[in-house]
Amino acid sequence: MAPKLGNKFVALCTVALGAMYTTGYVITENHDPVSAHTVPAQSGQSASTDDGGAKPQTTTDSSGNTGASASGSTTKTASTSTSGQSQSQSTSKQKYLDGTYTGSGANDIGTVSVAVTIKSGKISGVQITQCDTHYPEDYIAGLPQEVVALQSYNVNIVTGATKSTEDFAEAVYEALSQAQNPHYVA
Amino acid sequence: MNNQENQQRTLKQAHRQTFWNTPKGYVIITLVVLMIVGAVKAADRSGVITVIISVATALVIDSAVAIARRYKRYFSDGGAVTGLILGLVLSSATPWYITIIVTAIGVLSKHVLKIGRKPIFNPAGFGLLVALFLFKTGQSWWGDLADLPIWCIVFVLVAGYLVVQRVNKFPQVFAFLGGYFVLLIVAALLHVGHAAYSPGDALRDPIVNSALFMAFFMLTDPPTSPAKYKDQVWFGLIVAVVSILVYILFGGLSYLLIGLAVGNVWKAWTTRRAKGKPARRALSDVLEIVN
Repeated sequence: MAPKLGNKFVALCTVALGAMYTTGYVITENHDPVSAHTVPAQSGQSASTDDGGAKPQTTTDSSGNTGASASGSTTKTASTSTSGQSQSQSTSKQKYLDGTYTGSGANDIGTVSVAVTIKSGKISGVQITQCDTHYPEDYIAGLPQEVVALQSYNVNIVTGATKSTEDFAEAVYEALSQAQNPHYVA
Repeated sequence: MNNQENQQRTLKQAHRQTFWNTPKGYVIITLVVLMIVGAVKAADRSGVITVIISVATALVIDSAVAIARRYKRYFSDGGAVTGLILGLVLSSATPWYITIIVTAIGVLSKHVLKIGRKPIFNPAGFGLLVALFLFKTGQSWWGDLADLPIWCIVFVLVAGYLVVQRVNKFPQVFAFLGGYFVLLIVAALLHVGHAAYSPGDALRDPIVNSALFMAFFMLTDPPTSPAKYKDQVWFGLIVAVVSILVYILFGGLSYLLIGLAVGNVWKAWTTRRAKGKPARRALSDVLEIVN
């Protein structure tokens, strides 16, 4: 076996690696989607994803969405696509306007996009249209049904897939923000 | 009688001290420490059960092989290391039977896919890679402490450096990490990479944690990585290049494992060549065993 490297050499290489890492970190900071990313506002506040907390899950009531709009993000592509149903049919009793709405959630593990369908003012279906995360889509496959059952983006965190759940919840939140009925009276 | 008992006790103590001073004993201790620290996070706590299942499976399989082959030792410290790594990489949500299958694939690979007495692939890396493609097994790499506050990376770095120092693999770890960082910088400057897996992501928590964990605890596996410093540097660079290429082109979870597997095949090939086999023959020998 070769003789062990001296401590000084190991320390020098460590410093060199640290310098390379710092350089890479700084260079990628401006076009890194994570650093520019913002999670949906909760009760009128916006927060960064940096703390890794389950922001969308910690809200107590989805009614907190009212009036809140999704913050801008370099990776988000929130858009509304109508499914042919007239939004003018809604009444002030309907929380959401009928149609199909899309939203995306992204963090450092990737992006999840969803299409949320609203019928008669209620969430009737959620489809995961894109799952470009580092983890399999199977992990969050049960969440669309949970959204329909709860009528909220505020789903339970899937154990072992916290960040994928956050992406999903954020995507649904964004879609629901688009679907908000401005005339809704609780 | 008392003298005999004292002698036996002294021998046992010496044996125990010797075991914990071995590279594998060292790795076992550091991985257990990482598991305990990682279990601070409630979401990862159930991962301890995954570790117990994978370690138990690895020990049972290795013991069975040892009995069948009439080895002197039935306890497999290598099996314990493989089980620990697998348990710390697999998601805590992995079903118990999948954990057993993945561990079995990894442990059996070292008994089947080998040249002489040395396995070709890192058992944990091979098990995880095969499982990823066969079962789409989720991997959280919770042992790299990415779920904890960022300063907890110090635990991984200290534990990693202790292990790398013990197994004398600093050149390949430095070559791998250096290559990994430089290639990501180049990719970022050239604006290449998958939209969802940017080079910046790979330099940040949690992705960079998994690269460090792989570099410290899987890349350094003595039987499946070269001993000579020059070969170590090439090995580290090959793993880095292949890993980053896969990451940039496809993203996903498998890039580090594919890089490691390619590096392992390269090591087996160079070992074969060192024994006087022509390059093409050596490669075909290795590929024949793999296939």
